[in-house]
Amino acid sequence: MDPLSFVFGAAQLSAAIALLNGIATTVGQGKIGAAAIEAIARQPESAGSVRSTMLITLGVAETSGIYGLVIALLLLFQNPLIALYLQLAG
Amino acid sequence: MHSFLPLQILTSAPDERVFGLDMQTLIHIIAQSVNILLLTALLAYLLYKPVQNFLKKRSEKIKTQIDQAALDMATADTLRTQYKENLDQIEQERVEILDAAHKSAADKSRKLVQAGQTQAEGLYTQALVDIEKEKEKAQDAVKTQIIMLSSLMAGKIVAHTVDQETQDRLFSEALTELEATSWPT
Amino acid sequence: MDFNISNIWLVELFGVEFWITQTIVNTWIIMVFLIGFAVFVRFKLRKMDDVPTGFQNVIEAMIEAFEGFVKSMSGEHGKYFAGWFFTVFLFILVSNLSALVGFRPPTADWVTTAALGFATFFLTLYAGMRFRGIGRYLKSFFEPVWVFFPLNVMGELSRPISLSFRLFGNILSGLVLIAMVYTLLPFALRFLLPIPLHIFFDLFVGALQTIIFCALSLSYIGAACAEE
Repeated sequence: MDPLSFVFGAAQLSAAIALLNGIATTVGQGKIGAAAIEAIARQPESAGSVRSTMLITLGVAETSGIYGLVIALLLLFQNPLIALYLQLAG
Repeated sequence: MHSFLPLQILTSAPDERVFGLDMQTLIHIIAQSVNILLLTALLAYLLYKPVQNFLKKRSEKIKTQIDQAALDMATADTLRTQYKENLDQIEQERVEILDAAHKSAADKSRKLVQAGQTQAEGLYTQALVDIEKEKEKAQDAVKTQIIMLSSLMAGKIVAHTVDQETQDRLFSEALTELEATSWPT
Repeated sequence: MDFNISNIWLVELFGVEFWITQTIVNTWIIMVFLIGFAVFVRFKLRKMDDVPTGFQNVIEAMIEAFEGFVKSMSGEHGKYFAGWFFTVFLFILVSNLSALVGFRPPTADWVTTAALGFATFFLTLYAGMRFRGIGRYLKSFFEPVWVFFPLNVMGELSRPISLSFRLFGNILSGLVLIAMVYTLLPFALRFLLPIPLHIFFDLFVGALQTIIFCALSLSYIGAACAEE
């Protein structure tokens, strides 16, 4: 097999594996939303405060998923190692 | 040099990339930090500090105004209770004075009425007594007239028929008879 | 599919190459815009009334709301840093929203967000040392047991890294996805169809990420200078 296409294929496969982060992210964010809904149902007058706290917590919990997304993007589009390999291999 | 890969990676000129970790990145981080520090200094000096100072001054002014207003309200309250007390007192005195005046007026009128009544009764009894006296005087006058007339008559009659002794004896018998009978009153 | 950072100008300083990139130029443009805005506000409010109306009301409401936000996130001592975080808030907000007008946002480069993250890190150290005393703050790294020192240090170092990568990843992924959609759509549909994407990725994520960045930085500072 052509080494370059092997490298490309491996890059795309690892990008897909990197995006498996999203499972844990979605589950965690779902739990945060459920806790927020329950808190609002228990005490409706704290809805504004609960909503802003929930949004901030969702942003923090999404961090790990974003790490995976950034790595996937770098692998797919802007792989520095492939550019270097191309430069070296001529 | 071309065979040592890590050095090539570290010193290659960046060529339109998205993310990389080399000397350029460090230099850019320092450049951006300088930019942000400059921006913060200017913006804080121009925009944030003056507005913050102004807000603080205004809140202090409002606080002193509120304190002053609370003080004024307290003095106004004490003054108000004081005036209310004074007014109540004056009201009470007014009621008392009016009552006293009414009572004294009522007393005086009653006394006057009583005095008038007693005077009237006195006049009335006096008038009755006067009437009695007049009646008795009239009765006495009538009595003396009758006595004079009868004695004249008797004297004349007696003078015709009887002499002096029997005239005197008849005269005293008539008197005792007259004294015995009751006068018409 | 062009979302790379283009290099604009090469400067040679002491034998080291220094590329002036699109990020740095965009940062300068945003700085000029913000300073112009500040000068404009200052000019318009030369004489401030006691009872605010109109424009003055808006500016005062913004600054008071921001001070309330700072106080709620970082406690009493955090008010010292409100000026810095006001600037950082405005900078990140304007730079995230500049994607709507065609700039490549400077926060879509890890360089900018790393600068901001490390600034927060040094501010945390400064706040801890100033408001808690140098000895007590450094001793707190050895709590609860002295073997925890590496863990505490790594935890403290991971904060600016996660802050910077969160902001960088969110803005960059929005940029890449919108660029891909623009590439896939035919030319005629490029004017109206991507509007919801822009609303989500530029407006919503941009504003949310600035709030998250500032709220997290303030809560780290509040945790560093909190008396136990």
